Amino acid sequence: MPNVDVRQASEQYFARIHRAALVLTGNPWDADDLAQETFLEFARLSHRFEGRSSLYTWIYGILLNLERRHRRRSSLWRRKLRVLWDNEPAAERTVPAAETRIEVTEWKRSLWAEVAKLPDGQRHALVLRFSEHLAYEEIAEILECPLGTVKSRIHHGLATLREHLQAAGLPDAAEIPKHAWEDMTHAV
Amino acid sequence: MPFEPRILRTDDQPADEGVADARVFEAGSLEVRADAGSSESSTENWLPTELEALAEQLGEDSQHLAQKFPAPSYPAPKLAELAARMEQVAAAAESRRSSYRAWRGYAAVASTLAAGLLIAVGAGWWMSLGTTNTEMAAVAPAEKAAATPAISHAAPDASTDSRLATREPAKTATGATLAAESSAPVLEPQDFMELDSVTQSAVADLVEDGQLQQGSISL
Repeated sequence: MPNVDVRQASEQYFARIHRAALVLTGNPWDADDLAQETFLEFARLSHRFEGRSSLYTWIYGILLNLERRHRRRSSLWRRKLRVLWDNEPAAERTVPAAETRIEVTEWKRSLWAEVAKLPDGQRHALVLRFSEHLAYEEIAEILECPLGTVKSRIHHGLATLREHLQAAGLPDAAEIPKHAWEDMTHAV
Repeated sequence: MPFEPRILRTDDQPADEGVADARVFEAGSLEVRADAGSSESSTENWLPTELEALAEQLGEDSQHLAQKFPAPSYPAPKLAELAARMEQVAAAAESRRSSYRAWRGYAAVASTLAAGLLIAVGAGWWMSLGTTNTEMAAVAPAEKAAATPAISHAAPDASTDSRLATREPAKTATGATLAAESSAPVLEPQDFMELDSVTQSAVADLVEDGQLQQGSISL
């Protein structure tokens, strides 16, 4: 079992993990939290690393697992908030919908906002391939699926993305974002 | 400078611009490709042209987002510190878990031994009880058979003296005990007086010899 230097790994891979987290979450605050949580989890589980894969692919696996878990919890939380929001009198609504995600304009105007609507498997494959520029073999290792499955997910993900864009009629940049209050870039 | 994704613009960027961006991106200490050799397979052009354009756009968007929102500089030492702390906590937790596992193992072994001991004691007690019952069941008829001839020897004529029909050894009979224990007719003084002279003298001899006592005399 290889000896893992947590500090060195944190310094070496934090930027990459943060970039992937940014693409996945859509805002830098959640990306910071997710990236740090990933490395804390990595530090906690580092003794389990057996060296059968690259260290950074292992960390990517942790990141994707955490992101999937966060997304599931967040979805449940937003559904609860949606019920509360619907029960409020409409006249008292002076704030955006409670379940509105905080996303920066840049992200929402990028294709990654459309990628976020895809299933987890396709989404993760596209992030690892086109944001992190990992090889297909590494993606297959991280996602724990055959190489053909990775290519299939990427192909279907891109095809679905293209259909979404065509259905939306390639919206003009001026129309995005739909809600001005969701633009949090001024706070950065 | 506002971000304008290429796919949303009417005019395409020159091909060199993306390469230049990538160089700047890599210069920012971000390791884009971890393994140049393995990433060669990623250059396989198996995607349709229209999807290739989307793929390129995704890469450019990702680069732009990373430049716009770079990773914070503080986390490395802070993370290392946190990670070290987490490792200590994890080691402590692992130690607690291992000691708990050991304690649980010992407890399981001890409880198994105790249960085995209890079962052995219970089984032994049960076996001894069963043996005793068997012995008693075997002895009882023998005792009964042995007691019957004793009675018959001790009381060859049970009809004349029912006291001998018991298994108790013969006691020295006193007038009171004989009167109390016997159902034979009691010789009252007036009855004694009615006896003939020969019998009276015989009874008187017995009383004098101490073999009989005056009082209620049972025959």
